[in-house]
Amino acid sequence: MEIITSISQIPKIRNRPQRTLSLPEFQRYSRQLILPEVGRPGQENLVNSSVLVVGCGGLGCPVIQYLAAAGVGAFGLVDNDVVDTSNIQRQILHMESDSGKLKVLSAAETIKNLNSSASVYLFNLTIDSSNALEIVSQFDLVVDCTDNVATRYLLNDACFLQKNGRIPLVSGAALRWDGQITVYKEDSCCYRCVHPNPPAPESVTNCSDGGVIGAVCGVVGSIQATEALKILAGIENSLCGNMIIYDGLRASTRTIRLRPKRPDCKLCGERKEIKELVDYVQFCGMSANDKDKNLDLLADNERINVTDVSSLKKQSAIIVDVRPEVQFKICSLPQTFNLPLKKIKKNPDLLSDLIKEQNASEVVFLCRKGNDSQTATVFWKDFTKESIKARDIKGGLYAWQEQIDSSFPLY
Amino acid sequence: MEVTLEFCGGAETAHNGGEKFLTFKSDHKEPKVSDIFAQVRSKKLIDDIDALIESDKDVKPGVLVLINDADWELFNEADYQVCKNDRITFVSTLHGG
Repeated sequence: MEIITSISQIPKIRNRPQRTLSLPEFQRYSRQLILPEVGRPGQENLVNSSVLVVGCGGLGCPVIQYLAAAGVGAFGLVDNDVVDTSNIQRQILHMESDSGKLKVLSAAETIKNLNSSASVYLFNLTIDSSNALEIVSQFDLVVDCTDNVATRYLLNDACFLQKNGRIPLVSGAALRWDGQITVYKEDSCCYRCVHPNPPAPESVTNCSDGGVIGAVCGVVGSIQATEALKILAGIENSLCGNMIIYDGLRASTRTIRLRPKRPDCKLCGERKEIKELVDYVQFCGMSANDKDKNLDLLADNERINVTDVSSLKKQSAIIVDVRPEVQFKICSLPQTFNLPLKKIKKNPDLLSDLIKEQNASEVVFLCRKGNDSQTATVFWKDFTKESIKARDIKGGLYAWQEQIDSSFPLY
Repeated sequence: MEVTLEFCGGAETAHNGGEKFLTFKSDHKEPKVSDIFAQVRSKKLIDDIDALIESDKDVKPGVLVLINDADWELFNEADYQVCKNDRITFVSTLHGG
């Protein structure tokens, strides 16, 4: 298995010589072969097909697993990340022993164990406007298992702008208990028809901040795999034009009807203003991954180091932990008060009252990694017109664990 | 006329910290969706209305409005005349994976 890291290494994958089923394959795929919609032609389509799975995380893992098991002939796997312990809860192709390994490699090893006849191409790179058209052109279908808005627009445009015709795109997303799945192909609307403008960056929650249930990723990924399998086998029924919305918490599923193609869509509408890929990171104002960003809103004298926290308590300062209540209950430092950032912003008097009650002259904000604590400091300084001293603890509880107390739990 | 709004896909967080439905009596006898948006805004019926609605005629990017489980663009969007027992849903679209 070759690891592809640059565009010059992209091999010819699509339109390889067609093959028929081998003798053992009749038995191996018998349970799906006997379905009238699949049959021998459908299975032969599958073994001769190629799929690009972008993102080998919570959604990519079940997609890859089911498509490999079903006999899809060639896989392109795109991911530039390595396996982290916190991935294993939902990214079911990665094992404990894979920690630190490239995700594409870890996923490919599982495919190879599952189905040795599959060809696997590993793209250990960031897919962007410099390489997406060429990568996508080598596959019959793209499955969007990404974790960010910029790459979703990129894949949409790259599938549409293919010289030899639009490549179908199976799109899935999951967060908390919720999942959404749809298919864009042929004459259907595109992602830009549904989302002409990207959402405001502050309205987008990632799995690291919002959380996600692993099995919900499994539901979404399994539906994506089902849709992909139908398209690759040549079965006409499709989710195209509709979106499945799954709510795991309330155990409800509904299929909604999406809009038709927008005549004024910049990509697929009448004027077709977008003729080539653009800079999606700039367009969305968000980076092409869902990693936590390190904010840098405060000057050095507005921040204190974890090592100086013990000297604080002797003075009349209070430490306000601005994490959501559920996180505060997971673990917290003694003698800290929990007032979530959202609550402070909505009702600043809650904090004014606390300060009065504690007779404090300074408030020090704390959070998990030191981002929300900065936002809180800026908000509070602005709200109080700097009448009360406010600072934040640099690096938050992560820094505390690293520098003060290694037994403090991190999550 | 009684109107019920529904929140889904995470849009619940905009309403009372996670409630699924909001039912109220419309100021109009035959309201359009824009009238409902205007009423929700002026009477502050949803706490984080700014997370969902851009104006009386439009929603924020990333939010879909459904009328009886179909995208409101299939109807008249904000000019759609709401009928009795219509289900109007805000859906936050997701991006995680």
